[in-house]
Amino acid sequence: MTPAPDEHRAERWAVPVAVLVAAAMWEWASRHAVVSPLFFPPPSEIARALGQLVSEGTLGPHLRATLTRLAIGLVCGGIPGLAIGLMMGWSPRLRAAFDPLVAALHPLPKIAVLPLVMMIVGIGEASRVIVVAVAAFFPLLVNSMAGVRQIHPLYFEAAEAYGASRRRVLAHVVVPGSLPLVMTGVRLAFNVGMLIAISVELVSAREGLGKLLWVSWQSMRTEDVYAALVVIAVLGAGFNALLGWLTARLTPWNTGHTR
Amino acid sequence: MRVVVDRVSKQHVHRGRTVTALSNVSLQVASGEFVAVVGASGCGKTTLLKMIAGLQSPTSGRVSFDGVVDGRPATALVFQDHGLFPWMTVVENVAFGMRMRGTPRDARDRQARALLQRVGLESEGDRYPHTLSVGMQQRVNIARAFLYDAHVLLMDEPLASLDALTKLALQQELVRLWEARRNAVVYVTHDIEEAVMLADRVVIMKGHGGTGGAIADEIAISLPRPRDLQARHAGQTRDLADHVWRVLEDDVRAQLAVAP
Repeated sequence: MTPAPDEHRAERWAVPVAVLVAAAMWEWASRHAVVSPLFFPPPSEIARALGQLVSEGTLGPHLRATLTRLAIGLVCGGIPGLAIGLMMGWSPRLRAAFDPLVAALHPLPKIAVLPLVMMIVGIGEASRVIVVAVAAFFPLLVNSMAGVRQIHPLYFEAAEAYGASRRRVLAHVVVPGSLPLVMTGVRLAFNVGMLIAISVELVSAREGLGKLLWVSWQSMRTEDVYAALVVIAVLGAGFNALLGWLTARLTPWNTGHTR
Repeated sequence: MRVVVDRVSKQHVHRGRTVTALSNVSLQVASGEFVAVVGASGCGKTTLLKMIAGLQSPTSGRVSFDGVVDGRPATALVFQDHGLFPWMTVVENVAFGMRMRGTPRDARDRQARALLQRVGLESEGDRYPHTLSVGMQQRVNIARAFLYDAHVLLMDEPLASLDALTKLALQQELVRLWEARRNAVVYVTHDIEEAVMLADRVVIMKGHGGTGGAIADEIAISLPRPRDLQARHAGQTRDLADHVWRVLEDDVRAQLAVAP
């Protein structure tokens, strides 16, 4: 259902208004010591700290490190996850063979494999990217597989009835039919990838938003901790909005339940 | 070219039990002939159709095509519903068969739009199927099959989910398209009147209750074409429909008795 234009306008205003009201209340409570300014510095202080991190050139390298890690991890883990998921969704035999393995490995907290990966490849950048890749791999695999499985069997028959080869069934049925759920998988992979990237940086990295968080807490710069959290939240919101837009563009036929 | 179904049987295993879907069915469809297959639900009509389409293979017997030296001839299949790809526009759906054949985009789009114009959907070409009514969707489905220009056109209750009035209109459209091309048609339906009105020959299938579907009778329909709405009420039409019903009646009643 398309909401009425008025409803849209209301939605657009709701978020900034709510944020402003909450910030104003926080500001007031912190300034009047209703909450401890040490743990809950006023938003204006956080904004000032964020501005300083940017102008001193501290934020840039941390941000770049996290985004690079995340991007490489998403590509290296996501693409194999997508390919294997599509194949497992398409072939009952492959699914029967590998589904138990996926079911066993998927729920493992991916941060827990970091020590093992560090033992195998050393403590360098590779270990961090690998853990992000492993984290991104599963949501894409599981969603692509589900995406292919929910395609009605008649579409496969229709394609075959018109002489489609297996390669063409892949291109014209498997890929477009699973796309809505694949896009959900990309979104989940991004979110879990971000989570894991930050977690890895907390324990093992020289640069990154996680590292910035850790250093700020160690030196008790609470407003820097909040500034780093704000950056992470904005990244998440921005990327999710971008993906939502992209999904609508890529799947214009899909106005139903999966969007 | 002629479709030859030669003593075909089909069994499949369902929950450890062997179920016979078809037993010893023989049928020939001549080039340019419109054959309707009527029967109660579960008599194996769809199985027969899918075997001619090459989507299933017979347990015994064979399906062949006279006058085809090697490989299978092109067959087009129209489904009752769900047949259109939701991720393709109307034009892309109609042109799908030609695309699989390797026809260049310009040519196939032009032909698809021309055919859409014939079925009154020229302005809907760029829409997605879910935005169309069920009747429009089935027109697209039928247009796709005709554009494929197959020697053999197979239709599985293509009009069954439509309301009575839309159905009447689409029957006329379908016959008009077929008369311009004269492919061999196998048209599966459970609507006796529809079978009599559309076909040159009606094949009656029976076989509810595990024995497997078989052909019980065949009748030639010699009503002159074009058959308009008046022909529907002519005495001869009624007699033919009555005959089909008498052959089918006990099978349909048996099915009602078995139902819980």
